[in-house]
Amino acid sequence: MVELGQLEKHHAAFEKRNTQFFVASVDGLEDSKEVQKSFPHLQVVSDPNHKLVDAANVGHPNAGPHGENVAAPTTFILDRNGIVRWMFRPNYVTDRLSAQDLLSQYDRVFPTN
Amino acid sequence: MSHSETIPATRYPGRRNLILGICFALVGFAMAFAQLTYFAVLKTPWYMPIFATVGTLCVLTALWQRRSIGRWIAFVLVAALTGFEWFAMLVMMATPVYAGPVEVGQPFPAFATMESDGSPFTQSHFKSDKNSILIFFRGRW
Repeated sequence: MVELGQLEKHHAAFEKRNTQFFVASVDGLEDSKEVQKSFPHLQVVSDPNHKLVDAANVGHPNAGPHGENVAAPTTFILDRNGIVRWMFRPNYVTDRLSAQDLLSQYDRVFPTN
Repeated sequence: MSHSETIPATRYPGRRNLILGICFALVGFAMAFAQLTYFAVLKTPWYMPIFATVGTLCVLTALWQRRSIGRWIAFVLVAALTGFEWFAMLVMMATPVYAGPVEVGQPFPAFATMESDGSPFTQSHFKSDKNSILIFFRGRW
């Protein structure tokens, strides 16, 4: 959850851009509550029944610590109408967008003059 | 009166290569651990299997210079570590290619799940006075 730590640390920069943040996994409610306590500025989504993961088709079969299906790291930027404006899936799970990378990409999608 | 000295042959040829090889194998692993846990740099540590490969070649050279059971064991262990690291990097860490249905320019598909406080969370949450960023992560583990 190093990625979430970076996003939490830079939450002010995203709030300045009037952005809401959702971080989703297939963790159950109890685990999600613990994650929420650690990252209070990110809205944690609990998807243990894979409704969101399946709708977006971001499942990663057998990739969990016990061989269960988990979510593949994927990032979406959406506008105020719920339209997808940008998406990113790294080639390897160890590659993630840094907070700076995400901010730069966000500013490209939603430039401010 | 002159005398000649015979320089004795090295008793343990290749010892330096053996130590170097083991160090290469371990230092890559240590660097990757520090990168991910201490420095929090989220990039694939390709140097780890590369260092381990160099280490394997060094140990192999040491084995060629002097065969011993200890060096055979070192070679097998370092080679196994190298093989595992390449397999982990190239296969275990690879993500599936994204095949949709989410597309840029299209609405996010409908879904119904919940937030961490148990309240409902659906695609309607993306329609607000704010832009949204949705990130999927692997989980608390």
